[in-house]
Amino acid sequence: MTKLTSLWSYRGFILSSVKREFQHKYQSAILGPSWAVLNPLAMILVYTLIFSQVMRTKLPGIDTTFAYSIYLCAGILTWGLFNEIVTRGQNNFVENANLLKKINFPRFCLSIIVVLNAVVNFSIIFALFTAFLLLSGHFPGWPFLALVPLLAILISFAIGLGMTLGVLNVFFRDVGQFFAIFLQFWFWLTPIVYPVNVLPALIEKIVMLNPISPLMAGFQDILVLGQWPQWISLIYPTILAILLCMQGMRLFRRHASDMVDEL
Amino acid sequence: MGLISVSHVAKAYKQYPSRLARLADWLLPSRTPRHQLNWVLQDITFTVKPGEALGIVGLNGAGKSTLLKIITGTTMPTAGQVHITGRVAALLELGLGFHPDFTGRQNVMLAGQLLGYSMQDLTELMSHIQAFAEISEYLDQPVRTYSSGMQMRLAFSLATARRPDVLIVDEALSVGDAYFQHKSFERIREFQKQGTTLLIVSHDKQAIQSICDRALLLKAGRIVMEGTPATVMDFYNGMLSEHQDQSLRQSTSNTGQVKTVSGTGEACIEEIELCDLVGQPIDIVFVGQVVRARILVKVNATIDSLVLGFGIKDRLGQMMFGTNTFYTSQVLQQPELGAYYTYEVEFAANLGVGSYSIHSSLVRNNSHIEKNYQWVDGALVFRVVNKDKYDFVGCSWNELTFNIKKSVPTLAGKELSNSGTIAKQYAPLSRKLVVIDVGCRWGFSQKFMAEKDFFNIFGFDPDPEECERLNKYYEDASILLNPVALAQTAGTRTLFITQDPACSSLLQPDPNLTENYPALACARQVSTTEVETTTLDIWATKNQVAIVDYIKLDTQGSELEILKGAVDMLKTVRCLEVEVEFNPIYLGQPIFSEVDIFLRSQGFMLWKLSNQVHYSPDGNPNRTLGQNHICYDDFQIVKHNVYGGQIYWANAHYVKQDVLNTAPRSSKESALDIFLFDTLGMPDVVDHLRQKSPTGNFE
Repeated sequence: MTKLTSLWSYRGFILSSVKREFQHKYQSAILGPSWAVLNPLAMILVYTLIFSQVMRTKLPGIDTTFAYSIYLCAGILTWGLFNEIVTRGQNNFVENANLLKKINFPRFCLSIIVVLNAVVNFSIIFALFTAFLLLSGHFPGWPFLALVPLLAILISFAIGLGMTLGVLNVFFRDVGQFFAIFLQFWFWLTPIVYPVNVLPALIEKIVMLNPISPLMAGFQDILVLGQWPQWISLIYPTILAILLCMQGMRLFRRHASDMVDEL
Repeated sequence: MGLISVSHVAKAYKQYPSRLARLADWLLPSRTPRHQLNWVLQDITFTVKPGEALGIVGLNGAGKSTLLKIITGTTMPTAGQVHITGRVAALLELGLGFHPDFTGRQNVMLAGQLLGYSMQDLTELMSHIQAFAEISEYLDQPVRTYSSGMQMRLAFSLATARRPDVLIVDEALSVGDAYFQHKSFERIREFQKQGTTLLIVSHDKQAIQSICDRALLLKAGRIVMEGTPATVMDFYNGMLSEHQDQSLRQSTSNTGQVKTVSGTGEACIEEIELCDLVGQPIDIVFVGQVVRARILVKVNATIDSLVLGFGIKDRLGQMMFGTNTFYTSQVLQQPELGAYYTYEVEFAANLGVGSYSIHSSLVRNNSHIEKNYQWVDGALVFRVVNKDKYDFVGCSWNELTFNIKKSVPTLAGKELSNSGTIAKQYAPLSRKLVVIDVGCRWGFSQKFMAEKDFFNIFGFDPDPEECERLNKYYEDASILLNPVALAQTAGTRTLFITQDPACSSLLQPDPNLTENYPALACARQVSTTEVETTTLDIWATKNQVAIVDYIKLDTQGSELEILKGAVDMLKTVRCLEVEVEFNPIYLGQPIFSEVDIFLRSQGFMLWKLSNQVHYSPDGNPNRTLGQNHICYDDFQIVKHNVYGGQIYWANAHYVKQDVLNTAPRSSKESALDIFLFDTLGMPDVVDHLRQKSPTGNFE
């Protein structure tokens, strides 16, 4: 509880750090923060144009032009959020060594800043995507609300993992290197670019062991088919997310004091 | 508030033989740890009472910085506790962890919030922080463009923007330049007076001795000594050369003075004695008295050279003065083994009243770092008392001679006259003096503004915008601006507008000059416009200005025309200043001789020339011929470069002949004249007028 109240007293620092980081990314650009919009907009355009218009890719079983593009975006955008929290999380303490060594403040602030930043970036791109859904008449309706719990699970999973990796990375720099590679494999082992049912049955089973897969399937169900996600399938990633968060906190508590010595 | 208590603090870093061992330690729980503990601090216990200042000294790696980190909480002790009350401000490792890509201002906001300031506090404090750091133009630049000194300035200013209860400074100030070091120490001292507890790590002896009440010496992670700064610093100094396998010991004499002896012992000081010139040992010395220190040295081993260092330290251990026989070229080469040498050092005790000690050392050459045979601090203490000198303060005696005589300010201008002082003797004047300034762009001379209650001022400039600007600027009923172009006759004329509007003229600039003389480029013609002209006489009649006392003209070549259009007005004018050219800049411009002939015909005589301006054509060096001090009309002494080259223009000052030559006019008129010439800065004319007045008494 005292931890929480002390965090609250640092809210000013957390908020201005998020703001600064966002500003900093664009401050020396002429177009400024419009890049925050232009960048994801270009990505959405590329996926929709290339796959729906140029390659005329269709999802098996669905016959609309944009279906595959929406399928892609549903996965790539949410994966982007996950990826950002994990990658930034694992380098968090190493990158802020300078600050950690000189000022005494709750280190947990740094993790919150990372998550908030990722959420801000995700909100921009996802708002654009939602606008696209509305304009092209593919808005899923009520099941859209199910995105909230799904994103919550995804973010918790990412926080737990990011924090675990962040602490480990201080002591074993290999972790950061290794995970950068691992994330690439993970991406392709998750049904994001391809639908899971194109895989051979055996591989499909393996791919579904991946805790992110049910989450992605959930996003795709909501956004592509306009259906509620299969809640049962989410139990597995939820439990894992909770375990990861607990593990992350445990590691963090145990080694936070040694961290500064190692940096 | 402001108590620091450190009890039994110890810190160990885990040392793993390899990274894998650490991994194993993490993953495989086992009874025997796979790491070794590397103790950098052990059993550190001390308390700093509120308002006290503690200095921590020690060699690199003694654990000073780690100790501070533990105290500030950035790292955890392996054992023991630290307890601090009150708000802590700490400057560790020269900074506050500024983000290199953010600007100074943004970093102040971010780091400031981490230091416990609120957003609102910081907005309020920003101007103070900026002012103290004195890096104003860099504040909105990214911190990566800062020098380390600038970063430190900003960090220090931020950390100390409000007085903390505890201030912890780790060597940070040594980065700054001497100016900022001084400034920050001032602030630290100020805080100290107000009750801030200080904890300072420094190698700077002076800093420790002048600020701290107590010092603590760390060696290899342990406190080896705690005591007054002077004692600890002496010991620390001895320790600097301890690697030479030498002994270091301190002893306290029965007077409480601590004597520190260190050294390898190849040569040693057997006796030190302070005597007067008769040879009587003394321990009380009068200010300025010449005394002799006698030092007996014994050579214990075969050494190739021997140097004696000698100095006098004050009560706080600050060296007052010191040197050695290396610098006086009196090195003893190959001193004889087993022999005794006596050094006699004669000096005048030009010291302030107080207690001093003698420092002496035996070294191989110019410093003790390389080879320190023996080093003795505080070996002999003596007191300096004031017997026959006048009272003084400070730590050194310096005979001062004061020469006092009554005098007037020495500046030439001030001595000649002092604007307003003479004038005010004659106030109230019978009327206001009337001044006309033709070509008044940029405003009126300060000499009138200072006494403007006594003047009616009429300004003329053909540019209505400039007139409006001046009107707004002065907002004074006694100043009237006329956006009127003046000439010899009323009519329409072409005004040649030039690159610099102030050079615009009714005459066309000579392109040959404006192209070839860089300094005259301002007069390059850019456009022309038609203007209505009038004459001063027409204007005076229309505006019922019957008397004008003084005219100043600067109209780029049309001065003579304007004067010719003011023949009636000139009858009352007593003094006149006109810009005259000796070589024309404008085509067909009348030059000085023509102006002079006309003004003579009007009863004026040339009084002086000022502000002569010379120019050289393009490519010719603008050679300075010398420096003159000129006294401006408002009595400012200005260093004035006199350039070579052709003379172009000057200001000619004319005085009406009858002011000086004819019999005294009425005393009222004389008073007006005296006031006028006094204000104009012509004290020579004033003197003349006062002599002429039979009594010097004007009713």
